[in-house]
Amino acid sequence: MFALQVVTSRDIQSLAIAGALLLVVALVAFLFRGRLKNLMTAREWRICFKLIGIVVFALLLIFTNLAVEFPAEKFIYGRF
Amino acid sequence: MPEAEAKIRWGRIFGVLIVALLVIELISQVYVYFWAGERFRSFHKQTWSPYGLVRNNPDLTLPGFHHNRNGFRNLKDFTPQKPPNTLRVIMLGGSTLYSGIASTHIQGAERVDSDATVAQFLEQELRQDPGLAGMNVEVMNAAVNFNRIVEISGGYLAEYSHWQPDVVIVFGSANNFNVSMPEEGEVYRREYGIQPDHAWKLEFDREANRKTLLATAEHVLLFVEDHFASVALAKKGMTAALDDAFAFTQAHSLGRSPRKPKTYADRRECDVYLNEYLGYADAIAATAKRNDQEIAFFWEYFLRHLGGVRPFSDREQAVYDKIHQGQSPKEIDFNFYARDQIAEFCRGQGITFLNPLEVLKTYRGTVFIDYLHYTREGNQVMGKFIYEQMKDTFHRRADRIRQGEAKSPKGIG
Repeated sequence: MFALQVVTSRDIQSLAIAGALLLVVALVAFLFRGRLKNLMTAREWRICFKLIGIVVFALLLIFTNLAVEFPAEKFIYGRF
Repeated sequence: MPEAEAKIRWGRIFGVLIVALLVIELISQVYVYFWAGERFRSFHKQTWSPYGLVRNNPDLTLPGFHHNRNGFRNLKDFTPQKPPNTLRVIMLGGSTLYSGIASTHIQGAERVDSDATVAQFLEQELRQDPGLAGMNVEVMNAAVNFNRIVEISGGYLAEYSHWQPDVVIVFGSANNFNVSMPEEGEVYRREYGIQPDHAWKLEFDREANRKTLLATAEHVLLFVEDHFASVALAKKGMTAALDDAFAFTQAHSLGRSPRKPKTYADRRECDVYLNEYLGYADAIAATAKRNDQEIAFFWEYFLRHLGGVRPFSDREQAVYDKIHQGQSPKEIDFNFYARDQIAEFCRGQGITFLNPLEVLKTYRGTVFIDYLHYTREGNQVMGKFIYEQMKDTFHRRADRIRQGEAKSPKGIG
């Protein structure tokens, strides 16, 4: 069977940039953690990230369902 | 006051979330702009079409892959009504013409940009032809990845034949006659090549016809990801990660049964399949004739079928070495048999059959980018080959256009 996806150097480059951006955001958040504590309480931050978690896991559920029912090997040029 | 008893400031929580989303969206938009060289529009490669299942999404944002407003892989837009004094060529097909790439590819090779498919090189050849001086030339690349003759014929009969092309060139043979041949009974079970539903048809049923909660959620997501770069990027990343995870677990699963040796379909069964293909080809040829359009069929060779036939470049040899193992001579025989049957069909219909084998036997540059598709250089070679093979046809049509010969379809009857 033909392969599923192509990883080109452009994709690798974009992944590297995305990873670097995430690191920068984490670093900035760490440096300004004092201000973040002033913005919301620890409990409110936990709720905030729980909400994000719910959305992310809901998306993961949808995509996993699709990946099981419509395996990538059938979609050599990607799913619709 | 203890934290547990403090009132939760929901407004602040949602405010932070909204601001964070806006910041992420802004960063995503900037990121896509630098990655793709243009503003984010959509990551969807296709849109649904009632004629031929799907079309290329004119709004696709992907480096090197520009689709015009007609959904063609061209940089400029076209009008369905052919302008005066114009020689119009429309090319239909799958990924070879579209110039997509697949897995094991030439080291260092990237995607072929939309200004370097076979269509653009054919247009260059036509523009340089002194015999066509003073004439507008349009070569449309209407290929869609994974188009088979089922989808090509549907699109042509219902739509593209009405774009008044002078010449129609049909690619896409590789999606009808795969790198492997049918196994015994596969054709009778309607499981080979053009017989089963297209994978995207299954997706169409899921997205458009199902009335489930999941389908609704997916619809909402499709809407959101076409409007927000951050959501589109998140989906791209998540689905890729999930697919990789599934592929990894499948590759390392312990419960795999050994592959059964293949028993191939006999000639009679192969002929049943060929007959089915030729039914679609008949429809295309009849429509072209009815609309007074010249037509040609192009044969796409697989790299792994050309061992000992083509003098591979070093880069092609590297790909060939990776993929040719397990290739049965019977499969090559079937592929060439199918080619010969279609050539025979074309001869019978007075249609041009474009067989680039001689070019592949003699040209020593790197034509293949992977197991099937062409490099930019390969596209240029094929554009020149088509031009040379069909030069007389192009000239004949140009003469008719100059003479102002009526281009209206033949009368009824």
